[in-house]
This record gives sequence, structure tokens and C-alpha cells, in this order.
Amino acid sequence: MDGLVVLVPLLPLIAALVIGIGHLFGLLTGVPGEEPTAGIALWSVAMSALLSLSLLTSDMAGHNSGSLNLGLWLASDKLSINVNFITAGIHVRLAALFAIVLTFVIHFSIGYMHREAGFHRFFAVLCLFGSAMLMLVLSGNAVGTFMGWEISGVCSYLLIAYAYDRPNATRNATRVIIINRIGDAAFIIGIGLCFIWTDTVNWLDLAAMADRLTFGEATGIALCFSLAACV
Amino acid sequence: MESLRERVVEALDHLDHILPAQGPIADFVHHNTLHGYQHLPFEAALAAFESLTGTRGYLPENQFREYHRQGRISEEDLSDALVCKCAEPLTEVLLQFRDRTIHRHDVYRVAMLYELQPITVHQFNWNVQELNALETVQEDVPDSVRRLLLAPQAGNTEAPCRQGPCLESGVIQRLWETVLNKLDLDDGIPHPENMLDLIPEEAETWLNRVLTGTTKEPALSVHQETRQHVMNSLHELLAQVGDSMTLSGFISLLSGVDTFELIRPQLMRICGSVLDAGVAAWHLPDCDRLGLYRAWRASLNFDASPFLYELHDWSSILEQSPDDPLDAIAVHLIALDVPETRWPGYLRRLALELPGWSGMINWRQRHAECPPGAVAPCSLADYLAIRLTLDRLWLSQVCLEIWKIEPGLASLESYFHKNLSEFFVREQLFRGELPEYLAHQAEQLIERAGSERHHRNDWQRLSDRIRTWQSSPMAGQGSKFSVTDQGWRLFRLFQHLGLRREHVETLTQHHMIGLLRELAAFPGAVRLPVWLHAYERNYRENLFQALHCNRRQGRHGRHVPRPKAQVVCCMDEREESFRRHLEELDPAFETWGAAGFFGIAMNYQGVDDTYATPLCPVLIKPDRKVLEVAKPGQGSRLEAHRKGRRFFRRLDDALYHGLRRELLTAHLKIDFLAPFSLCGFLADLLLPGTRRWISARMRRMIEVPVETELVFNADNEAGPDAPRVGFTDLEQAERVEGVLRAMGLTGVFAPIVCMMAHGSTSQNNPHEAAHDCGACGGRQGGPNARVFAAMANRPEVRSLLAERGLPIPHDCWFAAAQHDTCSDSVTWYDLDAIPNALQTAFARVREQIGRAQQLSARERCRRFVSVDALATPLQSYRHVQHRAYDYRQVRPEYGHATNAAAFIGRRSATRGLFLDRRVFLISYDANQDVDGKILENILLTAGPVGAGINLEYYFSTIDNERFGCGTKIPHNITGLFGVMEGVSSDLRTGLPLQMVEIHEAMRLQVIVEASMATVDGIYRRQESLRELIAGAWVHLSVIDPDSGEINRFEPGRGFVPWRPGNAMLPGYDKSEDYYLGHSQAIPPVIIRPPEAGAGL
Repeated sequence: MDGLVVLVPLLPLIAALVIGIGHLFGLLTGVPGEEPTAGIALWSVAMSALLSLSLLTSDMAGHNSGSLNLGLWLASDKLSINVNFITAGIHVRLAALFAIVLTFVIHFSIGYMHREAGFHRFFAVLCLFGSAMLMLVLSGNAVGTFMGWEISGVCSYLLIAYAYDRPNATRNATRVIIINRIGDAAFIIGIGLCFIWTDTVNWLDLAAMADRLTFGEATGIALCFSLAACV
Repeated sequence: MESLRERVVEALDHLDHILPAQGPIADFVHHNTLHGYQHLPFEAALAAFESLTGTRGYLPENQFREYHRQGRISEEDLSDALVCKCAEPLTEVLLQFRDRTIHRHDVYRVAMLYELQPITVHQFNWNVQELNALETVQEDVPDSVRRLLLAPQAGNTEAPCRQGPCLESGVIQRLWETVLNKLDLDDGIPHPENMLDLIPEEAETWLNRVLTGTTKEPALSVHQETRQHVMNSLHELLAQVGDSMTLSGFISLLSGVDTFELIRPQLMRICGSVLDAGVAAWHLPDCDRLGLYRAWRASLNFDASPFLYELHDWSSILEQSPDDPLDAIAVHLIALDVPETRWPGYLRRLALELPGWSGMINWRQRHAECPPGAVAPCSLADYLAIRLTLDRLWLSQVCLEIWKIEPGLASLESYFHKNLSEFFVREQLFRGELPEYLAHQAEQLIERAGSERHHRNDWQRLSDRIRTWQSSPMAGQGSKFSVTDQGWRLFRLFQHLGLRREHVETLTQHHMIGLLRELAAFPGAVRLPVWLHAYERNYRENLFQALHCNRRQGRHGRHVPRPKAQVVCCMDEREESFRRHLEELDPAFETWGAAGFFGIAMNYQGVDDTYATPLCPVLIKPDRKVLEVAKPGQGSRLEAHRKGRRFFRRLDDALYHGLRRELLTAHLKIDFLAPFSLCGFLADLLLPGTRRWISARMRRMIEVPVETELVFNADNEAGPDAPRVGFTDLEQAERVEGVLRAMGLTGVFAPIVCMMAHGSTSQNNPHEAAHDCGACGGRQGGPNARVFAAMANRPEVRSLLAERGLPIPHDCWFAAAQHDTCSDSVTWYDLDAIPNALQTAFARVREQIGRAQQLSARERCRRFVSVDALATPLQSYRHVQHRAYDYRQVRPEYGHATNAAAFIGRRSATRGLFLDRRVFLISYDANQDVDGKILENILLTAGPVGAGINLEYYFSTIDNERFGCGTKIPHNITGLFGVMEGVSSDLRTGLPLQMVEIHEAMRLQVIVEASMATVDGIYRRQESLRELIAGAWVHLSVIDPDSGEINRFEPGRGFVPWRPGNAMLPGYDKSEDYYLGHSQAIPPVIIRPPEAGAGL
């Protein structure tokens, strides 16, 4: 069942791309395009929620191996970053919770946003946001989490600035994206410190090596990730 | 000081006319958005409002042009409108050619239909380079004119090509060259990339052109000319402080620091607290004792927000502020050096910066008695005193930081008189009109020098450069004529008139100037009323033709001895389809229309209400109260009912307030309530119908229903004027008689007469009350129908009615019901009181009404996007029911969005017409109203209600952002009294976008079936009606009840006869045969009566 983890963030990503490209090329526009857009968004996220629930059930039944490695993405000297996911524990529980909530949000928004200017843009960004959040919680390494983190940050900006003709919306969106950069800096330093002190950026390896870190090292890494989470 | 206070009071009183008059959103009452301007004629009022706020009172011209393209405005409408609205003779010949004559009408028509505005250099370059504007005929030139332009010209030997693109290019190029030639222009427009900076020679040339063209002293140097120009600008800007600008606006323009943005959150916090109607846990301490301003002032020293400590000299400014808000306003205005003559304008401008909040404070000040439980008194003086205090605090900070001066008009004037260059640089930079290279220099200089006290030479050099740039074509300046203005406009005009070079060559510059003058004499402000007239005419002509064709036709010609039922609905245009379907289903049904409070003006207190609410038009102050009480023998059920109600109230309180307010227990409550709340939330989202059913069942189990009756009888000895509970028998008879005679329902009474009030129920809809009955003060009218029916069924009242010549047969029963215009469901009242002998008749009536509900729902569904809902009437009915309880639904119904006209007359004139839910139908029989008193009363009560609804929809549609409250999506309910966008916007008044998106914005056509003499007499007697009619806020027409002739009232001209066309109206067997397949507004048609006997 570990293989399902790939589809959980992938389905909303595909939905975001289909809606985004369809809208860009004028295939999904206006009120006639609302039904396909809504269908794509809802089905992809609902499927993602079902898959994440299956993953959770499988994990609870003890059928998951705990992680899935799809291969090497980047290697440089001692640094190697894999495309890997965690398929057990709080990661899966969070993914299931998030996918279910996202399904409800999309279901509500389909009715609420009907005939609203920017309907298609909203669903494209919301699906991308969902994909990024699922990537964030399921990624097996800090770099993958950071990617999800960044994409969800951009999506937050785009969603807050949804009504971009209103100065207040754009001002708040800009404020958020700037503040998020502080978190980014802390996140990147945290990743760097992990690598310097443990030679790995995989969450499971980091967890296993936590005991070997000195109090100062552990505190430094924890502070960086905490700061990132706080802002 | 006393005279100063009086001046402030006078200025504040005047604000009542310009601020939004909308009250708390839970009691939404439609009203004319420009109520303060209603004493002016419509067009003058719109012009006055535009000059004050910059908001235009018409649909954008492009929208009208789109209507013209769609055929919604015909050529005939346009021509008629031009004739009616233009003072100049339209047939006057402006240009005479050998083969063509151009009249003023032709030029005006082109100006109406096509854009003839000047364009910028960049737009011109785009047109030339990307759209080939100098080689091809303009894209919007119609084919017929295009053919005229490109037709081969006999004897034209110059043209190298005689067909195809080559011909087109030649024709257009030569036309362009000729236009430029006639205006002495060359087309040397520099490319934008070459205009990033000016070379000295160009700058000198352009500046000299400007100096030659605009000043009498061409010998002035650039610097001198700049100083002179800047001095004038400074004086102009200073003169605007007051009527057009506040001091914070002035400083914002010169510093880029918008202090209002800093003040706004503070103001909203304070206003939200004082206006709160049940959300806030904490209110401003002592506000009810001290009033808003004093309480705020007293609380400042203890404010947890540390904003004051960041401000300069805050304590001394606060110490200077008097205790009284009026004194405080005067003191601050004096401190800011605002001349006394400008105080009214200054205060108006301050109030208009947040019109929603100012309007709500003003409403509360003028309605101190409502809503019950209002926490504290407040007034506009409080609000403006706080605003001015905050203004002074922040302006003082900004002025001292930047210029080291006090924030006052005099000190600012003195400072900038000495530092003109700085004024000019700052003004140009913060207006945002400078090109990037100059803006960059200005920003650097401001950062480096701060003020002109330092680096004076740099300031002067930069201001000279800016002035030089302003004189260049890039800034839109130039000599007498310019390529992008006069050249371009005439070029387009000639193409649309179908004039070629050969024509233009025969013209002199004098002709060209003449044409430009014609265009200047016909600006947008003149064109828009013409468009509106044409738009309205189109609908009016269709409606009049329908009424004309329906005369003595259709169902009303058939005499039904005694109808099976008479259903009296509210005059509301939404009931038109319901009534039509009922009559279509069974011609033995009659429907009638009256103002939905049915003549019962009362304060009504339901069995669950804590206080009474007035149920009547807002202009009436009811002095009779009606109570709903439990029937005798229901004591134990009532106790259980109240217990259950208390339980739900506590639960709601725990869910919606306790969790926010209680520090210690909130966590426990969340843990306990979360699972239930989650289930409810998921059910709302995924299965709203099931959830509704379950919660209704649960509610009925816990909050046991109790049978009720009305207390509406008063002691017959009671005095006539005393406010009291109930009506005497005589008063009841008078009310019942009044309504029946007003409708003309005095002859045959059906066994069942159904009084059908209306209301609307929807979820997650802050504007729900806006869908309720306007004649009931924006509330549901069910209790009025119930009281009326109960009165009309009383033997005492019937015998009094018989004595007054209005006998109602014993076998006639008045039933009461309420139609939900959102879900199309009908709630019946007091069914157990219906006599046994009439139960069968009533059951048949109820069944037919049930069928009409479904058909009406189906007709409504055609305007929604959900096509599936149209499959069968039952599906449509289910669909509208679903809309009513769906939390996601932002368009539960379209409310009054279809309103366009009001018909006051016999139903026979409109019965059998498909009026598309667009016409208020008020029953009135002129034959029973010899002296016109009934009509006068109808016009006085229904007129303002209809006009208020129509005008609110009109304004909210034409500019939804300014007059309406924008889209519902970002709306937040604020303190249960209004909506805001997010958390820091103005309070949004007017109607949301979703309520007006299908509305056709035009003034109400009021059609009265009565003699002209009667209507004319009423018009002369009643000033309030004269204001509406003579001011053209509504359009009045009269149909003669005997001859059927229609006369239109035209302000300034009186009644003008309307001439019917020859066209016959299409006929359909059923309404749905016509409307199915259409989702837009459709013109009236005739619904043919069924064959004799069918449906009877």
C-alpha cells in the first residue's frame, strides 16, 4: 500500500495543472466551464482523501513499511536527496485529515463561488495548495517538505490576493509573503544545520539520530524549524 | 463658541441628506439610495451627486452600447431618445457634400454608438502598430458604412488600387493624411522607447509651444513659467481643502503618508463597539452614561493599544480637546486652520470618507428608540469629534517629522509658498503620473533632502524638468490641436460617417472645429441620459403594446359568475408568476394585489418574541399592538415550548458566544461540543435537506409546537388615538373595508378568499431581510394576513361591513397564508378555524395553490443556471427548496431584481399577459372610486415603496461597488448590524452583486388605470408624489378605464398621448411554452385562454 502515497499529492497537482492550463488556453472559462472545473477539482481531491484514508487504514493495520523511496533526485558530495515519502505515523494521519478538510472546502466553494470572477483561477490555486500541503506532510526529507512549504506559501499569497482589485487584499497578501520569507530563511538554515550535524536531510534518519545530537545542536535545529512554523 | 457650535450642528444636520440611510441589515428596507437628492429632478440629482462624490449615476456607456448590439435598444429607441433629450435641432445640416448631407443627428448617433474620446500617445502607437489603424478601416465600423467607405469612386484617378486590402489601405491612409493636413498637424509621434527622456531641443520646442498656446508671456523662462504654474496649482489644491479634500488628503498627496489608513482601524473598532447588536463581549466603558465621544476620550489613557505613545504631543492635543463633541469639532477645525466658511464642506468630506459607518451612526442617532437593547447613544458629532482628534494626532506627527511645522492649513500654505519646487515635485510624484525616470529622481531627492530647506537647487532643477516633461506630447500636452486628440477623434468620426478623403478635402478648418464643437457639446454627461431614455423606452413600448393588445381580450372577457377562490397577494412583482400560473391552472380562480401589510399597521409580538416589531410601511408609525398567544388549554405545551426554546437559546449562546468569551470553560465546551458541531457542519455541507429534516424534527420534539391565536380585539369603548393592544370592532371593519374597497373587491365573493402574504427564508444570507415584504417594513407579512383574515371572519365585523354597504356572504371564509418567495412554499394559518362546510372547497384551493407553487418555481428556475431544475415542475420546486436551505448558496432568490413597472388597475387589464415577474400588480377599480381618494391613498402608500425598491436596485446595479455592497463572497457580518469586506473596510450598504446581476437598471414605469383628470388632481395635491413624478424618479402613465387610451406624463410637458403600433403580440397556450429556453428577460406576450370549459 505504500505506493498510494505518491498519488495523494499527485492527484490535486494534476487537477491544478489541468484547470490552470485549460483556463490559460480558454478551454475552461466562464459559467459553462464551471462544471468541468468543479468536477476535476472535487474528484481529484476526494480521490486523494480516499487514498490517504486507505493509507491510514493500511498503516493502522501494520501493512505499511513506513517509507517509500522513488529514487535519487540530487547528489553532491555527501549530500544526497531522494524522492521519498513517509507512509506511517502522524504524517499519514495529517495527510488524511488535510485531504478530507480540503474536500469539504472544495465542495462548499463550488456553490459559494458560482459565477464569481476568477472561479477557475481559485480552484486551480486551491488544488495546487492542497497538493503542496500534502507534499509537505508526506515528504520523507526536509527538502521535499520545503518545496511543499514554498508552493503552499505562493498559493497562500495567490488565495489571499484572490480579489486582487481590492488594495486591502493585495496589501495583506504581500505582507504574508514577505513574512513567510523569514520562515523560509529559518527553514533553509534548519536544513543546512541538519546536514552539517547529521549528514542527512531525511526525516526518519534525523529522528533516529536525534539522540546523538548535542543539546545545542538539537536546540538550534528545533528553533529554526519552530521559527519557520511560527511565521 | 455658541455660534461655532450652531454652525457645526447645522453642518451635521445637512449630512443626513447625503449619507446612506440604511439601517441595521436585519431590518433591511429598500429606499432610494439618493434619498437626500430626491428634491431635485433625477438628472440634476445624479449630476449633483457625481460632482460631490465622483460617482456616476448611469450604467457605463459601453454597457448601453452592448445592449444596442444585442437589440435590447433599437435604432428607433435611440432616435426617439435623441429627439426627446437633445435641445439642439437634430435635423440641422452640419456638412453638405455633393453626394452626402450630414445632420447633427448623424454626428450624435456616431458619438453615442462609438468611442470618440482622445487617446494617449501609447494608445495611438498601439493602434497604429498593432491594429494597423492607419491602413485599415476601424474594426467597429459597421459593414454598411464600410462598403460606403470602400466603394469605388467614379473619376478617382489617384487611387493606385481599386479593390482589396490595397484599396482599403489607400483610402484610410489618405483620409488620415487629409485630416492631419486640415488641422495643420504632422504625425511625428515619437515611439515610447524614444521618450524615456527628452533631449534639450525637443524640450524647448514643446515648452515654447505650450507657452505660446497658453500664456500671454512667451518670453518667460522655463523656471519662471514653472513657478507661476506651481503657484496656481498650490492655490487650486489649497482651495480644494474643505469641499473636495480633507487636510489628511492634502498631506497624503504631498507626503505619500496616508494617515487615514492609520486612523481607519481605530475608528472601526470604536464604531463597531458602540453599534454592536449582540456580538461583542466588552463594550466601551461608561458609553451609555457619557456618550461615545466622552467615553472614548476617558478610555484613551487606559487603552491597551499603545498607538498614542508613538505620537508626538498626544497628551497636549487630548488635553485641548473639550469634553463636548460639538466643541471638540470646533476646536480641532480651528486648530487645523480650516476657515469657518469651509466647515460644512470639510465635515461632509470627513463623513463621506467612510460613508457606511457615518451613515449607520447617523441612523442610530435618528432612531434612538431602535433597535431595542441598543447599548449606547451615539451621534455623528461623537464620530466626527473622534475622527478629528485622531486626525490631529497623526497629522501633527507627519507634519513635524517631514516639514517641522504644525499641521494647519495656514502653516502648510506658508511653508509651500516658500518652497514651491518641493510642492511641485512632491505633488507630481505622489499623484503617480510621472514617468519612471522622473519619479525615480523625485524619490531620491525626497529621501536625500527631505524638504526644500536642503538642496534647494536640486529641487528647483527637478521641478523645471518635470514641467518641461509635462509640456511634451507624452504627457498629453500640446498645442491647439493634437494628433491623439482632435486628429484621432475626427479620423474615427469620418470613418463612422462613411466620409472619404474626397469629402474631407472639401472641408475647411472651420468645419473641423465646428464638428469638434458638436462633439464637445454632446459629452458623456449628456449622452448617458439619452441612453437611459432609449433603454427605458424599449421596455415601455413593449409593455404598453401588450396592455393595448390585451384590452378586451383574453380571459378577462369571460365572465365567471362566482369564482372558486380569490387569492389576494402582495403587490410584489415576484407574485406575478404565482398569480398567473394560478389563473392559468384554473380560470375560475381570481387573483388580486394589495400592499402586503393588508391595511393592518401594527406592532406585532409573536409568542416567542421578546419585543414587538412594526409590520407596516416604514413611513407609518403603528399605534396598535397585536399579540400572538397560546390558545386556552395549551398551558402545559406552552411551558414545554418555552423550556425547549430556552434550551436552544442556551445551546446557541454556548456555541456562538461562550466559546469566544469564557476563558476557563471554553476548552471543555469545545471538547464536548466539537463532535456534535462537526456532525452538524458536515450534514449542512453534504446533506442539507436531511439535516434540515432532522433538525426540524428535533426542534419539534424539544421545542414543542404550541397552538396559538391572536389577541387583536380591543374594548369598543377605547379612545381612537390611544396606543393600545388590539383594534375595536369599528376599526377592524374600517381596515377590512379599506383594503377590499381599495382593490375593488366589493361584488362577488368566492367561498374562499385567501390573504397571501409573503416573506423569504434562506441560509447564510446576511441580506435575507432584503427579500422580505417592503410593505411590512422589510419583514415577513404572514401575521398581517392572519390578522386581516381573522378580522374579516368575525361576525361583528361582517355586520358592520354590511351596514357600510359591503356585505360578505356567510359562505365565504377568509384564509390566511404566507408565500415564501425563496422556497416557494406556502404556510397556512388557523386552518382549524375553517368551517366544515368549506373544508372541501378549501382543500381544492390548497391543491391548486400547491400546483401553482411548482409552476412558479419552474419559471423562476429559468433565470438560474441550473438547467436540470427545469426538467419538471416538481424538480424545479425541489430545486428552489434546496436553494433556501443550502449554506453554499449566494443566490437563494433574485428578490426584486426583475422589477420594472407597477400597474395600478383592474386585474382584467393584465390577466392573460406574461409579464415576466416584472410588474407590481396593485388591484384598483376606478369605477368604484369616483373622487379618486382610494387611488390617492394607493399612490401614497405603494408609490414610495415601489419607487424605493426600484431605485435601490437601479443604483446598486449601475455601480455595484459604490452604490451597492459588492460581491457577497468577502462579506463579514459585523456586530449583527451590517456587512464589511474582510475586517477593515467601510460598512457596505446597498445591495450585493448577486442580488442585482440580472436586474435591468431603469426607473419604474407606474401605469394607473384611471381618468387623467383624477390622476392630475392627485398629482397637484400631493407634493411627495409630485417630487417623484415631476422629478422623473418614476415614470407615470395613465390608461383610461373606458377607452383604453394611454397617456404618458412627461415632466415639463404634462400628459402626452401614446400611439400604439400595429404589431400583434404573440400568443402562447401556457407560460412555459414561451419562457422555456430563455434565461434572459423576455418581453410580454399573451397567454391564450384555454378552450371553453377547460379547467373549470
